[in-house]
Amino acid sequence: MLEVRDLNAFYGQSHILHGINLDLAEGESIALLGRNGAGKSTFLKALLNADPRTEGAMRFGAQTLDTQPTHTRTRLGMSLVPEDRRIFPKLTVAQNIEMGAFAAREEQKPYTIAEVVDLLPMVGPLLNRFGYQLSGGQQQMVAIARGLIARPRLLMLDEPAEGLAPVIVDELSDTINAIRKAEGRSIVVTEQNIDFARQTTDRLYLLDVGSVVFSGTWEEFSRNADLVDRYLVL
Amino acid sequence: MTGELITIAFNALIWSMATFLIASGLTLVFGILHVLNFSHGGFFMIGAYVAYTVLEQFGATVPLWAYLMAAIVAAAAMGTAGAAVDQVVFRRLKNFEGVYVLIATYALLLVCDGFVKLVWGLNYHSVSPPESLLGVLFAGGAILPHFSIFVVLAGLLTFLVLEAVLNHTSVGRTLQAIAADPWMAQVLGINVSSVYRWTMIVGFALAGLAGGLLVANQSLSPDLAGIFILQAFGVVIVGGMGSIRGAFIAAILLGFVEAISATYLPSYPGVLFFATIAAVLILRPEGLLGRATT
Ligand SMILES: Nc1ncnc2c1ncn2[C@@H]1O[C@H](COP(=O)(O)OP(=O)(O)O)[C@@H](O)[C@H]1O
Ligand SMILES: [Mg+2]
Repeated sequence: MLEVRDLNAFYGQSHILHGINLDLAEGESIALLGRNGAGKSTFLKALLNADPRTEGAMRFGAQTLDTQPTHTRTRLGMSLVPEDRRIFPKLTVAQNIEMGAFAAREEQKPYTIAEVVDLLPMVGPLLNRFGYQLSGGQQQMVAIARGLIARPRLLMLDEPAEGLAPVIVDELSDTINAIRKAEGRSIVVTEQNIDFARQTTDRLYLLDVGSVVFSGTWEEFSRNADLVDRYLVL
Repeated sequence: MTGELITIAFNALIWSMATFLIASGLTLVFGILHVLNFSHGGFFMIGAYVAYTVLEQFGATVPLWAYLMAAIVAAAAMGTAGAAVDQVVFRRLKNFEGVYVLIATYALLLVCDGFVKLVWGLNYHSVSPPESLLGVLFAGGAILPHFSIFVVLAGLLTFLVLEAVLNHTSVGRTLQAIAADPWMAQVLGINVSSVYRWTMIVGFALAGLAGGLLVANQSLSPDLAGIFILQAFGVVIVGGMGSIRGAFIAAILLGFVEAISATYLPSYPGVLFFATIAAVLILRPEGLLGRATT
């Protein structure tokens, strides 16, 4: 469903991503691992045409992605939950989540708030709070709820476990697995936390200074013990 | 004594609501696009001239409906100009630093000035208030012209409509989201550049509407832009850049300052006005309701 060929991305004069190839099937879940600065966030933003300039070929479903602006791509069913979450501070949680409904596709109604709460029960008691009143973990759950309400075909989570307490991280991985099962949705998770990534995805790509240095299943990854030392440990 | 107080209060309200009418579009555009539009006064002025041209067809006695219609024509014309400015100027400068946009809006002000001189010339023109508003109301020894009451009500109504749309509708919430974080808004599937365009259309239409509503009793000349825009900038800055509610409160505050100084310090025009602006900025540099997005 997602096909990326020889993708290069640039910020101004800086060449950030170098010839990335990546495939993702319907209903599949993959992890994008890599150190800080490896280019994980840049990759997700490049898919949405949201900041970096890109060269190369991208296809999503039946659509070739070339000049479409960000909002058009989102409305094809690609949803990004950014690493800094970006909850609107002066809107309530319910209003924040409703903002995600602009991305709904013509043929498919968005979830109702109640349906979103079924998938993300932690959000239920927060609906009337304001964005600025949330803890980091709550912000993350609300950001996922907002990214989910339009029933995206592809949900991209940028370092969702970053900065969260271990209990919350466990809850988050259960949540992500529940979201995966619902409607056979595809998921991309970028992470530095290997255990969390393993619990929520089928296979992985490993990124280093803007290039893919490994791709395969978690078993294959485990058999190459040196990968962790070379590309993930600081 | 009561007559004098009522007169001061009434003059304050006239100044407030007239200035708010002009400031509303300015602060709206700033709140959403974060662009300080120097040319706003120029489009206000063209709006007034457009209304004047419409009203010329009616001769000396202007019916109220025609006066309102002229204001709406002015608003529509300036809204169209807003769409053109968005297309021709703002979109092209999207990837440049804010200061270039600022300079571009100043250049637009010069264009407006030239346009008015070219089309309507340098002579003074005037329009009398609508026929049915030529009377006056006597209240406690003060004389309140009907047309001035009309201006006060028009300003109040404009405020209430903007306030309701921005704070109590989903359109308002979307605007708040875009004002706070346009990057996230587009990632959520909102067509931010289309919203920017509509904001420009509405902001410029408000300038045109203000020009049309306030055209009576003005001496219409190419100086009109400068006279009012200074007041409007004062109101926008004191209210907190981008805040409609702030601009409304600031307009009332500065209106009273102006009315009081006109009565008690007539030989020092503007002194109290600028002193108040300075005092507010020293105490609250972000303005009364700064950082607000409505
Ligand atoms: N807006 C930007 N402008 C310029 N360079 C950027 C910008 N965002 C990220 N970069 C650079 O791109 C590289 C990759 O960053 P990023 O994609 O955020 O990495 P990751 O998400 O893997 O931590 C880094 O070297 C970073 O400094
Ligand atoms: Mg990142």
